[in-house]
Amino acid sequence: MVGIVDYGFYIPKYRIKIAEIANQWEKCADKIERSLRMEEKAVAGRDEDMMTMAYEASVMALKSQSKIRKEIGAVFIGSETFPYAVKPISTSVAEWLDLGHDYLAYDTQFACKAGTGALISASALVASGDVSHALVCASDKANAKPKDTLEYSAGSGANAWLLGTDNVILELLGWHSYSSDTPDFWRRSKAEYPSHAGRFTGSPAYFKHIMEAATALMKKQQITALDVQHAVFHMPNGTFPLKVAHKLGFTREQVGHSYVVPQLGNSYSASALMGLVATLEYAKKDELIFFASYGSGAGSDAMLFRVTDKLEERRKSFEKVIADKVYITYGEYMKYMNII
Amino acid sequence: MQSAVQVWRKQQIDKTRLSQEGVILSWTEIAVAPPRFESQLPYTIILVELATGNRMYGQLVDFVEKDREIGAHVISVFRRMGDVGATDVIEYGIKFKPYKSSKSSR
Amino acid sequence: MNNTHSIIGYYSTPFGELWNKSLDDLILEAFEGVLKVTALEKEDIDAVFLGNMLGGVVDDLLLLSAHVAELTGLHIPIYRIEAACASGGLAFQSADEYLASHPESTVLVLGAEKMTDVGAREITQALAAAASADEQSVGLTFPGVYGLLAQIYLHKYGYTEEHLASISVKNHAHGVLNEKAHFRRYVTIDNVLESPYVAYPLKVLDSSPISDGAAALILTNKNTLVKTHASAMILASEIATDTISIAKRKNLNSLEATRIAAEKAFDTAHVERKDVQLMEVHDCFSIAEILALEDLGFWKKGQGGARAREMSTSRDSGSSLIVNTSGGLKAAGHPVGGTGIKQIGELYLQLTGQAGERQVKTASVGLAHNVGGSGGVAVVSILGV
Repeated sequence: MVGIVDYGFYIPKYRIKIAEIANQWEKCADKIERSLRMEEKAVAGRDEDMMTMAYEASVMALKSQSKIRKEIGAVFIGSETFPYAVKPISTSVAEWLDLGHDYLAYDTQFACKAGTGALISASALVASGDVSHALVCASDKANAKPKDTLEYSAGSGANAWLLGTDNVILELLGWHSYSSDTPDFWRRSKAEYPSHAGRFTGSPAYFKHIMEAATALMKKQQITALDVQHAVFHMPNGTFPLKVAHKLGFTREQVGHSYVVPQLGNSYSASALMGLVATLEYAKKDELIFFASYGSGAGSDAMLFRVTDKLEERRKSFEKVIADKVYITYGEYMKYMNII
Repeated sequence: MQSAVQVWRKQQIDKTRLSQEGVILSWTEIAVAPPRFESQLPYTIILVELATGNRMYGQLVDFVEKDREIGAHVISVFRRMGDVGATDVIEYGIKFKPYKSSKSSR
Repeated sequence: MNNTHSIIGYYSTPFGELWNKSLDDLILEAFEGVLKVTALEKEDIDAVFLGNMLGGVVDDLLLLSAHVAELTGLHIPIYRIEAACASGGLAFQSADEYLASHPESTVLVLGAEKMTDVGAREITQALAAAASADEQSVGLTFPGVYGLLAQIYLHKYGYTEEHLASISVKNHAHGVLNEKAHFRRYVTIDNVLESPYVAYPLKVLDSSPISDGAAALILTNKNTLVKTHASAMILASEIATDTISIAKRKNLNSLEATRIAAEKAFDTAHVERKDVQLMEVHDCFSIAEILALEDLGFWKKGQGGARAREMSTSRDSGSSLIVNTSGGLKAAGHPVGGTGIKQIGELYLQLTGQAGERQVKTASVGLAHNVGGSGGVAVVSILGV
């Protein structure tokens, strides 16, 4: 059995309301909130970045795992806001976590699915016996050009996943990845902010890739939407995940607690996985979780998980933690994002 | 300004001081800063006595005024330190945030 | 220390923003100035001790010994002494030691600093070199270190910023009478309380200014010179040290180096505290003078705030102990390396009746207290006539 053995997350304390951003640009806050189905998003402080958040998430994931720390044979980090174009953050995080030096490490980028791609690779290394444990992090301090629509949703957050074969709390039953060359959203190497192709990011991008990956996985696993208890999708805004869930035959109840985007925004590579964190607070033994991430450029990683009886010991409190928040103004947002 | 080697060497020490609880022995709010900390003004520096008995300095972050007093409890967290140039190695290190041990619902 | 070590002359440049003077200019002015007032020639000098902190930090100038040699045309031994804000005091103490091992000698001690060529951010960065690496690496500035000490003191003994402000009020009033002072104006408690914060709870008017300046003394153990000049005897000059980081100290409400140096100085001088009428103490920040009076043993630990508020060491108080007639660092200015020399110089002028408008009657024993950084070095010197 291969799967998640422990996990952690980090959401910074600060929130900015969609209305605060809308008012700055003299747009109608109500209309934007309704069209995006979002209220506010999480923002990392000035001295936080994807590395500090990945570190904090990993601390939570490894808190009860002191015996296996030095057994971690692979450390992968997925992000699209690495502070370096060349210099691995995975080794920095591993160093600060004191994981020793005998591990394979790399940083990976694939827009919002950088983390899940690494999760799949890591699960294969564990399944083959090449490594006994792997640590995979997804972390972003997502930025957007001021006044662009992305500004409403680009948020900050991180999560960390420890994979192994012993004491598995969430078994990976199978996966399917669907990939293509679709330029819906990108950032050039010397560009400060990402660019996107407007409405093109919808049906030929997000919806196409998730539908293909999800359908292929359901066929492989011989299941339908009725067979699972939870459905978690990438959340670029509050409308897309509900729409794709419906198209695939899932109910709003199945999406359930995973729907965190209205309160937290889109933490890019950590987004879909944050939905999984939220779900794990409530999931019960033997329940099935259907999961699909989406990364622009483009691709989708669909995964099917089964909750084991071990989740109970490792379950993390999420709702209460994210309720501890402080609202900031647009000016503070500019400072925290290092724009001014 | 810290060189890449100095950053690396300091990391070896700072690594051992993460997630440690402590008590504020004193605090001050800096209003005039050297260039690499200017963008963070005003910021609060505290002198902390860690549970291990060691003392260290650090910036206090994510706090409200009532958390910032002599005797208050804090915990060390991992953050970016001062500003560096666009081509320099980034310096990470220890800061502190308010922390109520076990009894609180924080 | 040998009783026959004496100070026979003193000269100071004005302290302030001296835009058209470089460090070399200031050194030369003080050097020539003190020779002139003592009617000596440069050939009469056997060695020079120069106290300076920022040479090499603010500008790119080291090997200051050679700067002095070039300016003066001399080839004699010249020593540059650095101990942050105690550079001048330590240069003086070192000169005194030199005389102990060099009979029939005359030494010129100079303290000089050039600080106003760079802006506030850069000088803050430069002065932070007096703080430890740990303190600097988190963005704790030098005023920040004293801010931490002030907070502990105010918290422990229940005083307020008003108590600290009293020190600045007193020293400014004293400075009005000092023609070389950086500031010659009165300030009120309200002025101090309304000034902007530098590092809480210390405000601009709790803090000594950034000043340029130089001061020089001539010391000798030659009886012939002592007899023919207004002179004051060096009864003691002692140095003690402590950690660079305040975090590493046992006690955070006093400066141990001050305490130890004072004990040693009183012991060497065979003088008691009640014999001292005049002091120049290190008020780099208002809190520092309060701690100094306690750590030197004149006020009981914890009483400083109240005593400061009473203005009990002001020249107007009629008290038998007056502190910082020069205006202290606060009003006279604090060209770092120059301060320790200025302190000794002020005592010398007072003890030899040359202090003009500032003259305090009947002072025969004076004490100077010069501190480096947050107390890493303290030099306590006692002069007598």
